[in-house]
Amino acid sequence: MNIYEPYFASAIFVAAFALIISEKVHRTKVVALGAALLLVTGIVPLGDAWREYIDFNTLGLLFGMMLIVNITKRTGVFEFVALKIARWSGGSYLKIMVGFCVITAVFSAFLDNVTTVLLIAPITLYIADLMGKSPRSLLISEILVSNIGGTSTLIGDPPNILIGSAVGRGFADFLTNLGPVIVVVLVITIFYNRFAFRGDFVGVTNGHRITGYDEKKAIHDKPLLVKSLVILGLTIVAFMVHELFGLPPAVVALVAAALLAFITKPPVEELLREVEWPTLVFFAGLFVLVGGLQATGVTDALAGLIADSTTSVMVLCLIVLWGSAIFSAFLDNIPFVATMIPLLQGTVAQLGLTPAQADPLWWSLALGACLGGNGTLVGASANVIVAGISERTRDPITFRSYLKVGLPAMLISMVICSVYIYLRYFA
Amino acid sequence: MGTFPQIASIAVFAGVFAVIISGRVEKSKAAVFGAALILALRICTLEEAWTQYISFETLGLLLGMMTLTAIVKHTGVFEFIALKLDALTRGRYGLILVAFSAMTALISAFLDNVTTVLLIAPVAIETVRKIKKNPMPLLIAITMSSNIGGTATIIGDPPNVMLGSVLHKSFLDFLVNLGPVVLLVLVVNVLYVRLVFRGHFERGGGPPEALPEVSTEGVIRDRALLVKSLVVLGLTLVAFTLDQTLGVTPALISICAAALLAIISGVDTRKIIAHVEWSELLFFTGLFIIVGALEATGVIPALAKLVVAAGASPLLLTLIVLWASAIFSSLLNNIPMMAAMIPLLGGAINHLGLSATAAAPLWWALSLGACLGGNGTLIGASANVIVGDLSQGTESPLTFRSYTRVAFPGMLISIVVCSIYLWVRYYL
Repeated sequence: MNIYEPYFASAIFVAAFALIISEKVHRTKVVALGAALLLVTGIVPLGDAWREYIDFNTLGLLFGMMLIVNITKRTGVFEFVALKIARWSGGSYLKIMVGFCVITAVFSAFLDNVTTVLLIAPITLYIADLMGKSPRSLLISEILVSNIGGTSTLIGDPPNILIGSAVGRGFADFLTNLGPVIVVVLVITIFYNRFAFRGDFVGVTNGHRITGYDEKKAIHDKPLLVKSLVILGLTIVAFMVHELFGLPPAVVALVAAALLAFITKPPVEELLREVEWPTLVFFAGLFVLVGGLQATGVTDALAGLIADSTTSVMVLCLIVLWGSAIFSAFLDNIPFVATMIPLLQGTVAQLGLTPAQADPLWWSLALGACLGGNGTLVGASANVIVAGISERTRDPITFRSYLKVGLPAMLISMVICSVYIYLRYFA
Repeated sequence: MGTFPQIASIAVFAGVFAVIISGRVEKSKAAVFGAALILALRICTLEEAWTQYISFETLGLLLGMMTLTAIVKHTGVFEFIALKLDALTRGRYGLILVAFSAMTALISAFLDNVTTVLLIAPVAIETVRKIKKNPMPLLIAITMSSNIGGTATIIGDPPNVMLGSVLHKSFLDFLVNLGPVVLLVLVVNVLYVRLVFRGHFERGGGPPEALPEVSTEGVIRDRALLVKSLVVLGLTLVAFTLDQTLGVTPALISICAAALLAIISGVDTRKIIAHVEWSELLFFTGLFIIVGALEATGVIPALAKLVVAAGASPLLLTLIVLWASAIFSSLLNNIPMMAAMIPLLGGAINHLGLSATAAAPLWWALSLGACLGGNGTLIGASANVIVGDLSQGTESPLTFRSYTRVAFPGMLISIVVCSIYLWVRYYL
């Protein structure tokens, strides 16, 4: 290997990161160009990029879930559930807040967070309008819980998909290790919202106006709904037990997506048009960029530095947790996690940890990266999307107004996670 | 290992093929569903599928060329050239036929055939309408030329992309081995169309009517983008011809060229990505997995042994491959055939102990048969279907019968030309 290659690969990586942060060029273009440079210079040969660095499990799982969600959301089932909850509330603001927070968290555990808020936020605007309230506090609460709910499962948030694929942890592993702490964080966050927005819970609401419509109108396509729900149910069951059959989560998602596409009407071209291609290309390019650091030995050198300065695994866990939370509050957590995974893998190898000993590190990374996104309005894509939607209202969410509520909520959740990690894995 | 994996993989391949032929479900849905079955039945793992079966060189080359095409076609340069030809031929139908056929062949050697005919055929119809002639001969010639031209290069037609990527043949290999015969076939086919429709090409008595001026103003939609596109395309071609010297594969060149043009073009990434034919890439991916399973379970190696056991000489085998793939491709989709034939033929070549040089004519025969066979009927290739659709607005729309009556003999003539070429060049 040429002695300049590590520096070249690092320079490309740092420059790409800087360009992504500057937001001058679309992030997909940035990583595509960076990856192309690494490929052309032969630092990462195309064959190695495809076979070793590009993680097909991550891409397969993302792609499969995107297709399933695209087909399922056409049925109107998510709107149906949201409207049903609004009716159940009978106009009580507390019930609306709790109900919407819970379904947002549950949906985003299985759908991606952006899709969830894109489905829920418009209904929230509608309901708030019927009640004669500003939707701002409901929308901010939904941002918080969508990121929280997504943290609980393998498929809920891209950082988890990355970690699960790289480390070989399944759906059940995520649910049993992250599920408990997420439930606690969710409950406390809902209480926190009740407190933070206490002013909104007083005053008269026009509750009777909510109970006067028919949520069944939300269902667009009954046969599609039945097919989608059956397959969605089977997929979730298959995720729960996938290890019994020896099939990785990506195969479960791809098979379910292929089956759903095969038995439903929408043409492939239409389904594929709604797939987030820029996101997939972004992931592929990112894998190559990080692969450049791995191929040139930069990752191993950094991992050695971390390993040398590590005194105890618990301290390392807490550093990973808080470090990734603070990073993710401001910057895109996907490149961060993609870089951290090989780095931590190297550290784990040099410290000679068993997989069981290393597990708390991975859960810390997942919790920090996913929940950290709640810290600021630019911390996660779902936040930005909801802020965009709120600009249609008289009371839009600003960076400051969000920060006042979101940052304390994120810090509280990190304290809970720290306690959980300590009690569960080290006490 | 029991016989279940073999039987299951054969059943999946046959089932998918049957569904594609029935036309009731989109071919990409069928292929992907078949691949999902292979994965769900654990005939192969996702890792094997990804690292061994799916030819990323093929997908990469297709993706790169699709992206480049998506950007370049928006500049309007191809309509511009077509209109220039319209102006230059001055209403003489014989000249129009030659000029449009040659241009179609040239463009489709570098772009995919469907894009080429989508850009050229409308201008061609308009050109003939102005001289009040029947556009049918020209449309048939354009269709055939697009399939013929595509045969000449590694990037011209998907079967070549697959062949070149899987066997690691270079751009120049294709051009040197297929270029001469493609040129010959093109000339013969244009002459053939001219002869079949000789009545249409007679010049009317009396002085030629005054033709309206052809305006090319406003056809070039974005001059800056055009310059950038032409520079990148030029560099790409240079890189293609030097691929072995540079030690890079055509897939890498096309992806890098696409990334470069995407970035300097300033066109919205989403818009470019939306123009890539993802369902086509999905179709290829599904087929690679299905055929990979046939190979891994030993079905294709067993068939390869059968081929060897038939004891044909290399020349005879070459001719059988050529004719069989041509007949097959004229009626059915040639992509699944190529996906299955490449490992099958590879296995047979191994058993026969042929050297790379001795095996080469077999591969060229497969390429010529698969690409040129598509000319045989109106459903033989996607470009044919597109021209068929475009011709619906003209006085004599192409039907399956009217097209096949002319084109099938034309296809047979071209395969005869290829047979002679393969014999003379590789076996004399």
